[in-house]
Amino acid sequence: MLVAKNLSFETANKRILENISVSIAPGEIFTILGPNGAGKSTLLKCLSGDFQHFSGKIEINQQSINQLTDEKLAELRAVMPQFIRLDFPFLVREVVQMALQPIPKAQLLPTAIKALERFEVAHLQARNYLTLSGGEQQRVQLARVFAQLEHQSSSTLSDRYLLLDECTSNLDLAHQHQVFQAARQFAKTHNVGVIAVLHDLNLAAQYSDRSLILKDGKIQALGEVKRVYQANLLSNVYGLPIKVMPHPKGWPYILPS
Amino acid sequence: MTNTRLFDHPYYGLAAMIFLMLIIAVYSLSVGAIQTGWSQASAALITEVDPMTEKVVIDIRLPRILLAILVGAALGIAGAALQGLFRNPLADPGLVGVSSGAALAAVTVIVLGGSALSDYVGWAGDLALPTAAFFGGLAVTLIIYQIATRNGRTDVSLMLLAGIAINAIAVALTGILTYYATDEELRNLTFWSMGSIASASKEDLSIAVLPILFALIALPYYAKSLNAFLMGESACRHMGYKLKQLKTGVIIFSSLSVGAAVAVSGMIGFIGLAAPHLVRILLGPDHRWLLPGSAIIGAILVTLSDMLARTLLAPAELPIGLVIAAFGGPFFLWLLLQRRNKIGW
Repeated sequence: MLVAKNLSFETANKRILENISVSIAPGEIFTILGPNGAGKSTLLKCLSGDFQHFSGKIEINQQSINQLTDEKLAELRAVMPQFIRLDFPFLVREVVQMALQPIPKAQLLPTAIKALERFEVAHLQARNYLTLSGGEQQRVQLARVFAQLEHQSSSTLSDRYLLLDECTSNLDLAHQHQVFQAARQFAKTHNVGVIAVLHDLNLAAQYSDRSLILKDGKIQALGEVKRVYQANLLSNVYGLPIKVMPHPKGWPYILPS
Repeated sequence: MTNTRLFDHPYYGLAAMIFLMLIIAVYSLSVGAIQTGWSQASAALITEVDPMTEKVVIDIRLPRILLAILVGAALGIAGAALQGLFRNPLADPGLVGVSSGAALAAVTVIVLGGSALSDYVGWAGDLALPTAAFFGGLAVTLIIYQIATRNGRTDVSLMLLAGIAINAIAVALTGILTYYATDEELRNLTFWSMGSIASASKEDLSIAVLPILFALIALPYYAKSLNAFLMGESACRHMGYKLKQLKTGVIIFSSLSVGAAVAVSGMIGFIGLAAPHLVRILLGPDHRWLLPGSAIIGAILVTLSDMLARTLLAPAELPIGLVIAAFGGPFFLWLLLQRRNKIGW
């Protein structure tokens, strides 16, 4: 379990997160939703170990996150930040290989290519990363992040977590769905808890097991998608009249009106 | 394919570079005010030759060429490591002020060594100068890093502007020191600001060789983490690389390297900028090849420049800093032009 208890976070003069308690189980897809400036990325950065000056508690598999070393953390969780800036002409496969530290040299290339296949970018493996489109770069980074968790030496022993911050922001419709299908598959087969910050409520509704809605650093709703997606609540949170309809396939579908 | 690297396998590339370096070094032994020819020069290395050739080749040129190789390797590898640390290919030890910080510290020791700093000089002996240069370079690296890096991102304009400011401060302080300098010290000071290996001696070699070899061996140890570091501090940490050790190591060993180079050769610019760029074109940006490659190319560039400095106006000699600036300046402009129509460095 990845658990936050009474988590608060503040900068010099602003409280960004207030009293957040949430636990994410391996195998589930958990989405963090809310308007701009709600504290979604900050919450994710606390959960990933980037921000250590929070009050309250964060535990990964019963261990306090601030007591884990970076190497140990890297075995337990992988993180896809909102932006990755790389100014040097690495090849696509080299970018993925950076996350494959425990892999023996002979298997580096096949492992990287397999990781790229998950996001349909294997054909770009020998390309200069800087010449790719934004969407292609994002898919290569996703391949790197997924591969990091898949190939940790202790991977069979402990529960692991994947933290994704707006990881579909540059992707077209088809690839957005492909990424979340891959995430769902990955969560099931590897028993990984996926925590994703998202703006697209419909994408979140289709793939999340549970959602958390944040506004002004406070929890507005937390639970199964069907319970969280209430027209009143969403309209209030976003300050926009929103209707919630049932999608023919069963999950809720939102319509701003 | 947009794989633009010249060598498909980096080992071949490195081997070719080392081979080229050896050829240039041996050729460089044979030219100068007194021409000895290839065969005589290389023979002098191995067996006994006539005393004149022996003296010129072994006692005068050999230390100078070895020093050129050492200094070039030091500046090349430090440039590559600093560019990784700042995630930016403009981070040259000269441009961001690391060299002038080291030089200022060294000049301070020269001028004040007899008076205010006599205790320190008495205690540190021969190592007074290189040690001061190391701490001068270290201080500037730390200052620039503090100023230019926030939340794991480097602001390039801040980095360069801070470099300009520090260079200006160093020039001003060095200028002030000249008023306290004796005539002989003053000649020394000119040498610092121009950069020179003309007076290379066995003592210079013995001062520079250990710290530089140490840095040459230690820095490649950080190659893989430096690669990951190029995607940002958090991405590097997320993947489990030891971020703190990486930063500390790179800052200390590149300062060590630049400090030792400056202590024996003054301020030689552009090498730390040009060598890594050339190597990226040849072998790509991977630090496992970039760091050793930049050391070799740096050595080649300094040896070549020194050879030109000795031979262009022979028997007169140009300062090596002049030769390097004459080639380095246009190179830097070319680099900026390239930057306009290319993606990435």
